[in-house]
Amino acid sequence: MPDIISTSISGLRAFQTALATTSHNISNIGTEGYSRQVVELSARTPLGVGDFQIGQGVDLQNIERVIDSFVTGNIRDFTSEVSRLEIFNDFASRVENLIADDQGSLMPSLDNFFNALNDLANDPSSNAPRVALLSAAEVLEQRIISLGNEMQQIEQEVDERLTFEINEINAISTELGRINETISKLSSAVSQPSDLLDKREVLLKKLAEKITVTVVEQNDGTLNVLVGTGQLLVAGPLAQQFTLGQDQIQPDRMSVSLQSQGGSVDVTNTISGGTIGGLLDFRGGLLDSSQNRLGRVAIAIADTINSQHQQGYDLNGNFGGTFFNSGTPQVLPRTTNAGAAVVSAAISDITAVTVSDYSVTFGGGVYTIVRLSDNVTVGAGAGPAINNIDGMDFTIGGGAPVAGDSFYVRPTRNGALGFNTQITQPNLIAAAYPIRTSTSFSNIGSLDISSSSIVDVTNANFLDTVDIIFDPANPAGTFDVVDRATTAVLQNNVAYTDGMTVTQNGWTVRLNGIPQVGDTVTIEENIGASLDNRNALAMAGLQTQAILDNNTASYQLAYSSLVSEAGAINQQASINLEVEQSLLTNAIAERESISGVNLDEEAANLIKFQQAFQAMSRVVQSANTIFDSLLAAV
Amino acid sequence: MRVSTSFLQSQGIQSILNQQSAMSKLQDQLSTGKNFLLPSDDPSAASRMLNLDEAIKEISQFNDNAVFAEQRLGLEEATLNSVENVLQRTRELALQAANTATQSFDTRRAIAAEIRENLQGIFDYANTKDVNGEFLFAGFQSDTQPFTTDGAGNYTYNGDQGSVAIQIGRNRTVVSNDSGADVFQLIRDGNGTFSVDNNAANTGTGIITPGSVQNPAAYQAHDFTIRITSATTYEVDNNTTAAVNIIGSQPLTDGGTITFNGIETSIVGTPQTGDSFTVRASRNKDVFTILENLATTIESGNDDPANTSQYSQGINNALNEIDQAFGKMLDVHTSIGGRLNAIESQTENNSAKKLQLERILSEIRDLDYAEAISKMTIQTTALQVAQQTFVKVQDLSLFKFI
Repeated sequence: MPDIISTSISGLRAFQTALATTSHNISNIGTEGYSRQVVELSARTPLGVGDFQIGQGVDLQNIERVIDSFVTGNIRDFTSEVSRLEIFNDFASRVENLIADDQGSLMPSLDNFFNALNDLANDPSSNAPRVALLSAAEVLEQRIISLGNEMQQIEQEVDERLTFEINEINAISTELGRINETISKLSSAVSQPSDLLDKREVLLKKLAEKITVTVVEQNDGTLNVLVGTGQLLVAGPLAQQFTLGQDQIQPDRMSVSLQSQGGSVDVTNTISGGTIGGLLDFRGGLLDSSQNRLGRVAIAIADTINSQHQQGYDLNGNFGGTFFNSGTPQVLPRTTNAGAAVVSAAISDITAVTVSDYSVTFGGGVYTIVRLSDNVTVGAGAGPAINNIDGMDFTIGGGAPVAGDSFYVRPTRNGALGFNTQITQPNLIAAAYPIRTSTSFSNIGSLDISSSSIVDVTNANFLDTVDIIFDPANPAGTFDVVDRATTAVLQNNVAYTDGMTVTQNGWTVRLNGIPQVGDTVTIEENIGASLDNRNALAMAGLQTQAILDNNTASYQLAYSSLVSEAGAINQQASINLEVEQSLLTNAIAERESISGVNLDEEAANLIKFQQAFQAMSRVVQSANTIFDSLLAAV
Repeated sequence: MRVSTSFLQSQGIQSILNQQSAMSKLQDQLSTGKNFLLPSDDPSAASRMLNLDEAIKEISQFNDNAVFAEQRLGLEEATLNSVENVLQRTRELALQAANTATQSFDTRRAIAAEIRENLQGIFDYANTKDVNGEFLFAGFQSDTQPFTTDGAGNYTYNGDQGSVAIQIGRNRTVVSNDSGADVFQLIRDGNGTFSVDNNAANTGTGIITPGSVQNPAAYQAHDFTIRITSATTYEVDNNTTAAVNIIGSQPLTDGGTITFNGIETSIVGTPQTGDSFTVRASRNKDVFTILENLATTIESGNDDPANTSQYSQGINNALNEIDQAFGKMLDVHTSIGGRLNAIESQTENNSAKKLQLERILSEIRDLDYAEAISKMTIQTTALQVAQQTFVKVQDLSLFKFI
């Protein structure tokens, strides 16, 4: 005979639990990652009485955690992508702000420098434009160096952030291991510790913010977490640790390694996603490229201004010196190199220098040079000199190499940091050309030098006074080129044509007019030419001259391409971020619609279970009344 | 679809945050007046703006340069004006002196003295300094006084023939100076092609006229001597080739045409047998020497008939040379005028181009206020709606009814 009381008590207990679960749901409405729980009830096995089956009340089947593991997996993946793009965007915006700032970018100071050069060309004999040029050069130097410094600063911050994130990951993975252990102890075939699972899910999401993970569920309720190409970060209760160490290829850089029983594995290039992925992407992508581009502009300015300046003559009548210094190419030997060879690189032709890094690898008796931006082999040789490789000359020295030895070459990375002004005295600015030409006062004919140009100032006889003379002893219509001091005839009986050029001692002049016998024009050292602005003009002309990328881009164009590249990369990242964010929002909405707590629903449940509980209590009361009436009847 | 309470709330907040972030961007745009705040807002526009900005600054610099060149050329032009005036006055004085009938020893002395004054004037002009204290006519040697004299009538040019180009357009330069050699020194004597003179030892009254080139094809820049072989004949030697008698004995008449070497000249007056005249390819002569010679000639003038031909020939030649010098000044002057015109047209060109570039830059960079403000209004409404919706929705709860 079924017992009303016991049936009622089963109901009371069930609804009490349901009410407890409802209140648990409501009280966890603010808990991160909480999945709502529902009570599963089932009718007790009925009691067979004669031909009938009489129900015996309700049994608590399970308190179920409502989740969809596919959706939570999606959330993790999108989270990784969103946080990767977010941190990339953060850092990329800083680079952008740096290089595109109206005042802080390179352009105003570069314009300023060239304006000062123009002012010098207007008035080369005054001291004021010379002093102004020197101060403009100082400003340019400070600007370039501070841009370089800021970028280096950003790189340091990336490293600091990496350290921070790695520590976080290590803490999270340790915690995950611990939770795994607890879960494996608490789990049974029928029930699992729901709230602990939620907590683990929250930790996994936090981990996914740092790095892309693959999660594999185990039979005992624990999870294995894999990173990169399948390296185990967490295996059940066991958590591995990430460490930061010296990069093998670029030893001045930090690399990320995963410690495991088998030893340490460098995973820098295999891990992706999350803040770690974003930081590594930014460091190896936009930051490197921006530093290289900025460095290349700095080197180009120094290189071209120097070579023009060194062709000129200063106010003291000396050749111009080095105007700017700039950073030189870096060559980093791989930490695993077994040989003793030393590789160095120097820029020989700035017009051909790219913004890529290079690798030099020894094997098969030759050094192979690979441009890393497109992995093209650009040169090979046994040394000691391998010249004209993308505008660089490589020199190999030191001891014997061992096959497999490799070097990492950064041609322009340090260009900006090493930029500084070498000229300190206004009168040492070479605004003049070292030679000048004149026609003789006693000329009868109209012989004239219409233009002169400098071919090679290093010619030993460059400054010698040279006369071009239509010597009466010559055959008609011919001239001699004569060194005035030694009277040596350098060119004899050259036939004259109007507009012809004569090249000698490192200069070229163009002759015009109708000469008469005895006519002379002279090329001589340009002493005291304080108003000569020809070299200043030539230097000012460099502003718009196409120099970089094989004479296709001026400094300014190269710089603006740095700005547009950074802008485009960041724009792309922003667009991707928006897409990923909306995907993440959708996934969260989906999860919330499955696992989230709805207060109205809980209120309805509360009412429902409360009423059921009250009804159940009434049943107990009825049972009691029935019992009482029975007793009274006795 | 089931919606969780906390998601509903966070969605509501998120939508308010999104509206606020859009508002903040609009606010930034409105307060800076710029369309773009970062290159990533529009990378290609960012790089175009940099390029345009650069081009505009470059043009501004060219126009600054042009002002500089204009100033220097203006000073040179003013100086040349003064020199031309002095030369004009000197020419008048020479003409006065040429009229031997009206001149006495004293008047000649007075004329010569004034010419020497004029010579000093031109000498000073040639040594003009600009506002920076730089010599204007020294070529590149602007710290060196271009012309000096030894006090004995010899003038030296210490400058060089350098010309200072000023950049007034990307591919356009203009020369902002003319060297002293070009202006004052390289003056062709005679008629510009050849010069004539009589021999100082001549005893007759013959004066050779400046002449001209009639047949340029036949002309050779050689030196010749016309020898008077009798009262009615002359012969010509080529001194350059040392060929004697290149044309045989020719009939000589007073003012009659003498033709050889593609040129035509004549001898006026009565030369004596044995007198000679020279015809030389033009040499360069500086303006100081020309005036110095003129003054010396006038001072040497007296009423001795033997002196007349020397005197007249000297003044005639000097007049010719003053004309040449004047012509030279005019050439330089015209060239300066041309350069100033070039600067003006280039400056106008530059300014027009700059205006055009600025317009394009403004189109790219500057905010369309009307559009931005209307966006702002929409945004404000959207934010208000989002806020009110949030409050309304949050207010709905079943718990209120329990």
